Amino acid sequence: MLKLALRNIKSKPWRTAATVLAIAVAIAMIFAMLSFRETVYNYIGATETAVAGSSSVKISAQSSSDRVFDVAGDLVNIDGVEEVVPSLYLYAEIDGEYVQARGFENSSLEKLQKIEIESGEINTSLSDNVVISKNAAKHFGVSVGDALTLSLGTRQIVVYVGAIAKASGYFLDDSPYLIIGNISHVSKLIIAGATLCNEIYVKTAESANVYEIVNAIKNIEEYQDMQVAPSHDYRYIDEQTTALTAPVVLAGAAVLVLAVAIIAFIFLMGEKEKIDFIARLKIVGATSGQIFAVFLIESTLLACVGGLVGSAVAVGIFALIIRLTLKTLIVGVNVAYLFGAAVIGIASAIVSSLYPIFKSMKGSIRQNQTSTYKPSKRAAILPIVSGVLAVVCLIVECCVYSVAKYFAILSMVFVVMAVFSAAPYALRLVSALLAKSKNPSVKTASKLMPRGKRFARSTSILTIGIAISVMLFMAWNITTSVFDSYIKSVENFVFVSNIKSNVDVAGFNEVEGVENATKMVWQKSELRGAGFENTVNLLGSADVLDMINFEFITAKDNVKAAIVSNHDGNVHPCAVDISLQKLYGVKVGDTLELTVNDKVVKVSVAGFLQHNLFNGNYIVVSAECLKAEGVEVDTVLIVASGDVEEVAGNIKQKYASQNYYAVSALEAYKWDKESTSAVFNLVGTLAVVVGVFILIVAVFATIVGRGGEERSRTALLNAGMSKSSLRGAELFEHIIVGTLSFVIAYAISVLLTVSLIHALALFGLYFEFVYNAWIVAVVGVCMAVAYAICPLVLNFKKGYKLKRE
Amino acid sequence: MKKTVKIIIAIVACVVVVGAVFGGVFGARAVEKNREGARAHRAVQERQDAVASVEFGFLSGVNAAWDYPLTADEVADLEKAGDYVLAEEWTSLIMDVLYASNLQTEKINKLARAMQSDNGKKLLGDFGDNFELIIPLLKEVGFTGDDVAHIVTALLNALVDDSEGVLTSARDRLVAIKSEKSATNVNNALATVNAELSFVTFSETEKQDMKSALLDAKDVIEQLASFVYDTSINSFTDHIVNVIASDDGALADITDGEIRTVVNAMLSGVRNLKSVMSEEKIAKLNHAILTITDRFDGNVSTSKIFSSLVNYAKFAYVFTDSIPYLCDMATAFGESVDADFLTLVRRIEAASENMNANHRSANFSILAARLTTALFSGVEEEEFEEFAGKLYEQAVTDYRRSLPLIIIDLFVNMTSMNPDDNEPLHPEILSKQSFEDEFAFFLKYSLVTGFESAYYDYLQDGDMEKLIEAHRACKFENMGIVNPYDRDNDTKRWFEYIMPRANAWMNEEAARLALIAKNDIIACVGDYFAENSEVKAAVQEFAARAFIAPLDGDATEEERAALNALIATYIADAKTARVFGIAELIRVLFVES
Repeated sequence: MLKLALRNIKSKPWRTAATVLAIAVAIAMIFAMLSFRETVYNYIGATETAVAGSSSVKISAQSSSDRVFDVAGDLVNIDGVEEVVPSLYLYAEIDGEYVQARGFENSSLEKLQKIEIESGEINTSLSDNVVISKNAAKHFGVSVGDALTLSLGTRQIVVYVGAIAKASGYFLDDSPYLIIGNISHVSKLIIAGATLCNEIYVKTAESANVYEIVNAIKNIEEYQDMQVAPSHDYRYIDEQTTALTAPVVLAGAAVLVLAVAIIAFIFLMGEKEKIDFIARLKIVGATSGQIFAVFLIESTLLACVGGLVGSAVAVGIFALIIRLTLKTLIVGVNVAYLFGAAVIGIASAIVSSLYPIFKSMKGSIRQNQTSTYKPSKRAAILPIVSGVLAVVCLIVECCVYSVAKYFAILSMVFVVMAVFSAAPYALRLVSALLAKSKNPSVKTASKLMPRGKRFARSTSILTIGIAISVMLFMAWNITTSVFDSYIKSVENFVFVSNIKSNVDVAGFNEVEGVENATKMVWQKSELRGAGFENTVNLLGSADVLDMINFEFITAKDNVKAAIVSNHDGNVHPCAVDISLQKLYGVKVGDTLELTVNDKVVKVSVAGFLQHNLFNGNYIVVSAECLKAEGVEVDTVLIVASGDVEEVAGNIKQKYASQNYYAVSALEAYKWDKESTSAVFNLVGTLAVVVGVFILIVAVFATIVGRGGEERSRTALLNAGMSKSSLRGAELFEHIIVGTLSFVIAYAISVLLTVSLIHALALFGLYFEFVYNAWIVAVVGVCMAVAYAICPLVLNFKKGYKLKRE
Repeated sequence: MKKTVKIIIAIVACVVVVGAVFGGVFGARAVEKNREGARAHRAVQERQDAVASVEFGFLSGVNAAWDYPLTADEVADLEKAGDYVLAEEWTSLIMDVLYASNLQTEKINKLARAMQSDNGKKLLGDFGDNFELIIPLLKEVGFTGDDVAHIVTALLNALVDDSEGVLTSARDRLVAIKSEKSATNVNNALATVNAELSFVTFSETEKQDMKSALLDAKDVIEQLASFVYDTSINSFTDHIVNVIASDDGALADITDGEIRTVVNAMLSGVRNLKSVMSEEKIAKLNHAILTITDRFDGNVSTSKIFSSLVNYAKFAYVFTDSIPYLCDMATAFGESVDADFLTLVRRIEAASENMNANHRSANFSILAARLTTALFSGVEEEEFEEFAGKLYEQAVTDYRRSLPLIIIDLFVNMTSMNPDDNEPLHPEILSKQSFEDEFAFFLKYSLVTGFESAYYDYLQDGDMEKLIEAHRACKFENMGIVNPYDRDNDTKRWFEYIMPRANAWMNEEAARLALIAKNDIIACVGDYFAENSEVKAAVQEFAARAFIAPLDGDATEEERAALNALIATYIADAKTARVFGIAELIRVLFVES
């Protein structure tokens, strides 16, 4: 039986190769989709934790506290505290350009993060040696051993490049460029002869309760005015990951199902040939058990080889994509996902390979050999039922917002099912219409297509494949446009941070090019309400209502009047994004809990705004209210009337002697933009790869399917059909399948996009409807055309053989 | 095509692809290795060039007519060929240390450039007289405390290891280049080298002993060198007054808490030093210093850098035992620095130009009173007594180490002394005569050490006049030393007769005065710590006094007279409170200097 299975595999090398590769590709797709969220989470996590590394608690200065402090003796004595890593973090300048100057004690340099060296070495005996990133070295045109002069106000220090590091660890946050050196040397930017720190990172035992340690630190007198908080905001990382990946995760679920369908599809493509083979085996007296064993061995071999190749391809391609898009190798391969993908792929392959056996058991040998494809009447019920359900779900989804997210998922499922099952009928209809053509190729194609199962299946798979690819591209487009648009909406802003809370804002208004300036709190905080707990960006000034172009859902005058007034009560007025109302049913007058800088502030919703800013995760509270709760302003927000970079330069020049950090919003969010762009690139690349995979599988399926139709092609040639006409007929078959798939996919993409956007509410995301027809057109046309030209590209004509009977 | 041919083509294609991949990988590795080799070679070349630039800068700084490198013939043609050879040999040794150090090459280049600066030329032109310029020069280059510490220990090791080799090489070269033009200079150099060689020719065991002593004390030497460099006088004024009081930078509008943090951080250097200076480590340090100074004191005078290094070691030896106590006192002083203190400093600094010396001293007395209060709050009476006891212990072993005790006692008494009666604070312990003896001992100390230096200088430059003058100033006859040897014809034996006897006399005197000084210091400290201490009350009262602002240009005579009277009162009260001396010290160190 093994010999028979092996002979079977060897007899059709192209079919075997195509099957193996299709399984491999499907496994790669499954792996990519399974790994996607975790990859993005790891990437965002690595970026967000670049500064604090392996520490658990961070002690830092506030705008109203002392800017430098000591490591208190009591700190190391707290239960659970394992190590204390003081650090000095300053915004210095190199030739007028900001850099992050970060100093550690020699022994602590790599306690928070491992530094991966590209060249040079970390020589801790040289206190004026520093480590910079490869990008920084390139930017400043320096190499190992070269000197750089850092300045802060009137003070200057010279540092020497001791090592150049890879973009990992601390250097994942390299905007502005990061320079890591010895704390005592960096301290010379403030005062020589003293080792100062303005950040303390606390590493704790694994079993320690971080919040208990935070409270214990807050009880130490020296740190009562400081900001003491967990080093990492994992919730924010999770929320950010969700915001960036949710659309793809939803589309990815469909990709997963599609991958399994593809494997089944590839095996079903050879169904006719296999049934013939089974018939021959039965004729020579093989038992059902023996036939089952032969097929099982064959499919297991193919599936395992496909699994192995697929695993290798998956890891290789995924690693390459990550390297190209995220520009890092920090994200490792999750073996469990790889194993899971391989198991799903192999199991699907084995199960699918057995289908012809069960099929052949149904009829006699003769019936099975001579049967042609004719959809059963019972099968016609499926598209009708799923179509009706899809319409019902869509109506509910669009009319009842509170349940829209659930019905959106059902809508997608039913729409896909309806289209998948209706596609063969559409093909038959088109074929019937084209049958009247006088062109022999068209006529032949229109006659053959309704009779071959593979065309019906190709149409279904290609339609769904194009639709899913389109969804992935749409997901990419939605997230990219949302994140890009909010950064664009603040591009005329200049942020001045590292200020003291008592800074005089009038001085900023006098700077040339400044249209408006306000002191405010601008930082991440937590917002809690009934049924939600989100990380939001606190915009702590009523002035932002005039400075940012919000759309006012509640009348502007009402919102402004409410926020400016009532500073004395315990509950302070706030304005929030409309997404809170849409997602969680928040209403005007509701009381929410805002946690900022360890302070809990009760806020009441005075009105709703709408803006893409931070994906709708923002809250506006007046600076006065926050001050009343002990939260001091930490940023001066400036609206520039002219060239924003020039205005930032003017501010830097005016306040050159202060350690302010004045940058344009684009510069301030450069790193976030770069990291989110990297994720968008990953999404886009994955969409392309999945699209190409789907196409490849469709082509492989054609190769496999055609393998069993050699006799009919020879018969046509023997009947007098020219090779060109036959090639024309095959080309036309592909054109019809491709065009039909594209048209159906284009039509359903609108419905799928509506449902996709509604379904995002499951992840706590609210987006307005976005649909870019050109994306659908470009993706669909590309895939349809690529499929249509297969007969030409693969030169089917060459394989035509005229055999004498 | 036949199937076999297809298979062969496929196999060949596979081999070619695999070969290309492997070839590419290995090729890339080879290219990378080659690049690394070229980079390493370039780094070595750059370092050699940098060190050569320093050597050139050094030699041309010593004598503008000197170039580097010169051929043997060119050296022979020099007027001061002997000096050149000696300077070049010693410089080469220092350059070897520099090359082998972990100093960045770029920093060595900066050092070469700094040597061409005015300060660099001035320093190298007369190293002995302008030695104080070395710290600004090194700071200008960007030397860190660690750099200096490493270089110091490396130089000391090189001195032990290679001084004999340097002198032997110099001797051989001198013999070879002797020419008519430079005969005298070369002969003088040869004589000096031969004299020095007799001192620095060590057996391997001796070398190992010295190196082992240095190794044992390496961390303390480095800590000490680094501390001294980092907290050199210029740095201190720069940091404390100019920086904290500054209105710009990361600590503009400094708060009280930030001042405390900064001062505390600055004192961490002091605390670190103290933590390193355990009794055991001090003993090792003393042993290392004695080992080096015994063998090299005055014997490497042909290298100004090395002789300065040895002199610094000798100087350090006087204070090593006191360092832990001085650290405690510095920490206590630091405690007094707060926003109020800094405001006073800023006001004094701002009004400095409009105040005369007395006016400044009156205001500085307030600072001195605050520092004194902080000192006595931060250091227990027992610790003062222990410190005095420690100083006494070291004083009786070697007169050179009695100086701190004597100076402190003189200072404590002079700080409140009325110039008219010169009455010590505790005449029952320190009589007027003993006070004068202490003062005389202090003078004798510098004169005797000066005489010793003059002799070593005489060995090098033959300056007998300077030696005679130093001898006359010492008045050895008053110590009962009558020299039987002829000074002019038998100078060596003449000197060697005087020195041991002078040292013995000084040791005896030191032992006598040290006991008095110790008891006197303890008594003075006791005055402060006594119950209902008047001194303490006076100091505290003075510490709370207001700053005396200078008058405007249009002030009346009456106003000026009133101001002068107030200043006089302040000074008189400062003496009563025993803070005037400290005020004067601050004024001289931080303002007048």
